[in-house]
Amino acid sequence: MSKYAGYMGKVMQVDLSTRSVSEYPWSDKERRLYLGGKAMASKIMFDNFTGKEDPLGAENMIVITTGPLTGTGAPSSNRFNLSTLSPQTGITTSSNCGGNFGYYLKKAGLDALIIKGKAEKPIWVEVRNGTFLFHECGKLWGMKVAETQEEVERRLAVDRGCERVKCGIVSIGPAGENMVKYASVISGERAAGRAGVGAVFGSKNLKAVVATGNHNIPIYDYDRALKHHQKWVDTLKKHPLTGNQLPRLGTAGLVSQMQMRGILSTKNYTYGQFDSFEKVNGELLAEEYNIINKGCMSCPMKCARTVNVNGKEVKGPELETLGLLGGGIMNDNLELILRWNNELDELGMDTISASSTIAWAMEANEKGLWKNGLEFGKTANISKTFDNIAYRRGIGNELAEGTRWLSKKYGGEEFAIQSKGLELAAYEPRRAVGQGLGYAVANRGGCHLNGGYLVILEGLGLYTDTQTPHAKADLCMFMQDLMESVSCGGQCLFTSYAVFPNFLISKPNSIITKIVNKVIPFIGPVVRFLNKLPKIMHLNLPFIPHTTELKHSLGMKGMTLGEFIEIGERSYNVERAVNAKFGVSAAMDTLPKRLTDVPQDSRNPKTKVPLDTMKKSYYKARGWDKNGLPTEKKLRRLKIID
Amino acid sequence: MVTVKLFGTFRLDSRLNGAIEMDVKKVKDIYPLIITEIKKHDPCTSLTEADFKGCVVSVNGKQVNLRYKLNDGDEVYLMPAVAGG
Repeated sequence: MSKYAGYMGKVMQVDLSTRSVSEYPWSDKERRLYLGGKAMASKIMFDNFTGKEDPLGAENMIVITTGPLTGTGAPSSNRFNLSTLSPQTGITTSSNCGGNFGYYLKKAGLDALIIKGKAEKPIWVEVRNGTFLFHECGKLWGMKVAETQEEVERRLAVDRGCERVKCGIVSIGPAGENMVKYASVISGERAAGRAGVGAVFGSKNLKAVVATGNHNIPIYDYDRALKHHQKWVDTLKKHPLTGNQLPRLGTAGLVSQMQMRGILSTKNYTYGQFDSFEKVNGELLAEEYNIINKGCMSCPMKCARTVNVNGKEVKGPELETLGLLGGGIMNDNLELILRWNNELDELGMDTISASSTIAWAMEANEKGLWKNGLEFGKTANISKTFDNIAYRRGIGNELAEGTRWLSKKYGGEEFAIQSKGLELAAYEPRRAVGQGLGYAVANRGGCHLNGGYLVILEGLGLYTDTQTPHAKADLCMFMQDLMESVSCGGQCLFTSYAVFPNFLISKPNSIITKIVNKVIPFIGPVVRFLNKLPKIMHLNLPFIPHTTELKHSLGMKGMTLGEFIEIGERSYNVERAVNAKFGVSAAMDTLPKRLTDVPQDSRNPKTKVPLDTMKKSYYKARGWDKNGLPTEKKLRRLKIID
Repeated sequence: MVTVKLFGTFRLDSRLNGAIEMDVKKVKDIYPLIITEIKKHDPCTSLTEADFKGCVVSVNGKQVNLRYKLNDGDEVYLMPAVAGG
């Protein structure tokens, strides 16, 4: 049990090889230091990995963690995290996912689940009120994702003799079974998409995990928490971003904005604008195809789209998929993207890496490096190619390895749009250089979110100078830490967008906003100073309600902004420390030459990412050594090691 | 004449998803005319000139300010300055 509310007080580990189950020790001290989510998973991996593990070997572990706010009713708080050693990058990865699995894992009595070993035959695991049941897959193995989840639900209902069992499911599709390096894990319609977590499931002969139960999720001060939730929901609903843009257009609404900013990846990142963007943007999706907005449990934003594909209502594409399967491969047919998005989900494959890999292959073909039949603008063979990747047939067997592997074999590393083996999202960083830094230093590889999402200050919210390297390192660090903290509690990162005052977002032409945008490149030293002395931030700010939430819902008395941000910093550092065991250093914090050496606009030499300059500042800001690694002193200060 | 197009929630609020032709010399001259145009389709529109004054403007693919001088044939995009993904 925990002295803090919100937690179920139990972390369980299961070894699939022996089907043995045991409790993993996790103390209240650690709960306060790491909260939950990714930070907790990273600490568990830090304590268990030696650096010699094979991502697809039985020794790899999958760590599924919830946040303490999951199930408390806090806005947008029902996310869970799935961390493991990635077969795509060879280092840690964490995939954060919405839906309802986190909630049901807690209803089953668990804060986190650690999965090790390898089952002898394909199985699915049921966690029922803390008890583990191992079921043979039979015909389940081989099924696509929706069919798998329906079949698991049917088997549960038959087993219990009722019509339907309330449960949360995570499962893989054929891509995971065949260990495609970027196979995803799907929960309902939401994806833990990145860096091949699905392949690790497949390597363990694990098709699905199901959680059911009726445990109560304790709340420290119910009345105060409820009032705080209501106030917070009001804030989110009134904010132009979380109350208007995201509910009405979803993340797809970014396509047009990115086009105007020159940051919409086009033709495998050759350009930052796509002439036919109006045929694949969020406005068209909202007007012509969106049936209804959907959201995760307890989320007032409801940013997910629902569209009709082959007579079925399915999840619509996010911005990244629209960008990469639109301009990325020079396709202007939105209906095809809707269909492909569904096909990738059904096969259980990351839409970002799959599209980027295909875009790379198209360019390699165009340049004569690899004759593969894929061409920019040619759409007829894309569905078949997805199938071939998922089942590792023909060229699909090689495409299943991702762009880093392919470019090492065929050449073309300069246009393999990846960092540490993970393909970048749809934001073209040559006109948002802070985002470029984030992609390069992100712990899980080329990830827009793990990179700090600085693009929100560089054109997608605020309008600070997009080309200057000034303060980008410090802001990148601050945003990374803030988003880590938010995520560790179990909340959606979108709740952190509402920390930007309304008027700064909705009135970009006002004098105050213009001053703020001009001042931002000079605040680096302040950010660095506050980061070194977090205790100075011994306060709570009304526009960052997350700290008050931890007090009311969990009973974490004395939680301040400084402590909250430090949790994020700890999370980032412990993850980096795990990566260090697997050989990560400054040399791996890179971007392809197309982004660092070739200006996006040939008339403007500034339109490329000045990575080396920003990287040095970043390591300094983080207090890391010149090799880009946290020092022992740093780990000690953050209480990661004693 | 310039061509004006609306994006983001402007487009959803106004229900104007096509291009509008206008004879204007500067970006700021567009705003009163665009409201008139929207009101032709929806007299009860909640959009006002003030909403457009706080928007992002792009002309021929480049972001510009309110004082930007327009030329014949320019393509002007207007959209609210909010995003996130």
